[in-house]
Amino acid sequence: MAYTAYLAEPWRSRGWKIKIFDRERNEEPHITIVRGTAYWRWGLRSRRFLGREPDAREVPRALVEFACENIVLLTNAWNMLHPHNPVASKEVLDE
Amino acid sequence: MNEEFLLLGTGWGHTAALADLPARRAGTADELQKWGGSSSADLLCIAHTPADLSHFVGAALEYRARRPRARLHKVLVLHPLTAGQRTIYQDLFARVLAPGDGIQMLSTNDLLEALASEDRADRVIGVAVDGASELVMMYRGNLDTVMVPFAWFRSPHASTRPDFSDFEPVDHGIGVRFGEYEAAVDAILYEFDPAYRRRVKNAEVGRDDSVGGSVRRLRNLRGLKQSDFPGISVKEIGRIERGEVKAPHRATLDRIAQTFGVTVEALRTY
Repeated sequence: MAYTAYLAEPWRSRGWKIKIFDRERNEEPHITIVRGTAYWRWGLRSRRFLGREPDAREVPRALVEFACENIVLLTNAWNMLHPHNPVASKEVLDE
Repeated sequence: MNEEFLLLGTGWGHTAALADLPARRAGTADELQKWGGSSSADLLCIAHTPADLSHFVGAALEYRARRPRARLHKVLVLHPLTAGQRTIYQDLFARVLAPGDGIQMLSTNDLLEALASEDRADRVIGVAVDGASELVMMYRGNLDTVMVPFAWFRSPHASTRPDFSDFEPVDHGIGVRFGEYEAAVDAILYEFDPAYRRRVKNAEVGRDDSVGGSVRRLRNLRGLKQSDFPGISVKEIGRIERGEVKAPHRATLDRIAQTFGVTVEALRTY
């Protein structure tokens, strides 16, 4: 089952979501932060945004702090869904 | 983006989701004549109802009379078509997408917002499933399609296997849901659309473009272990993936590519 983090208000009613899909392209383990048509990938190893677009500054700092504070929960969720590409993998990553 | 949108019919009102859509409206015969008769292959016509589209059939017939092998425009209808309408319109137009007959689409609001986004072609707005052939067909925001076999939607957990009887595009088309299972559209396009793969690859900064990087990405994409390559040791695969072997022997690359079921040239595109 795809993972959706429980977000408190006001983020939920403002349409923000944090998800991990069951099937993802191979890249650094990540969460997808979604709002409307915009979405950002945030790496669980590097703890930074994985792409240049859309502008990461559009994501409220509090949401990134939420991800950092819940990194263990999010890491466990990723590892459960993607055991072949765990967050703690020692393999070299290029993305 | 090159696409242009033509909204057919008069029932659009002031739909908020249309605000960002680069669209013209054709609610009268004159407007249809003005905008709809052009031969722009990228023009995507959106009709609220089948009735809106039926008024456009004359233009399509006229166009076909001039160019018997060509088809006028791609067409998106927001309400279900009858089987008869679907058959006729699929013959008249370059491509037709409408809900019903086993096709699930984004909700109207999400659909229009997805179409208004710059990356609409990289989103999935409609999904159809054929259980007999075990194939999923996905319609992208430009109405191009991509076919994906059931087997691709794997899960390490028996409890979250995709349910192909319950499906829809989600999150404005960046995901596709099958029961409780969801796949990222990015992963689907990366695997099944070489042009998308090249585009993504070129856009990534600091990416490892070595053949080892490609092996590692494709191995993870396919969910294989380093021990899954017959005739090649785990140690050797690891060295190739880490770039410690800059130019692997052709025979080794052939064996790796064979395990993936791709050519060596295709392997390098991942």
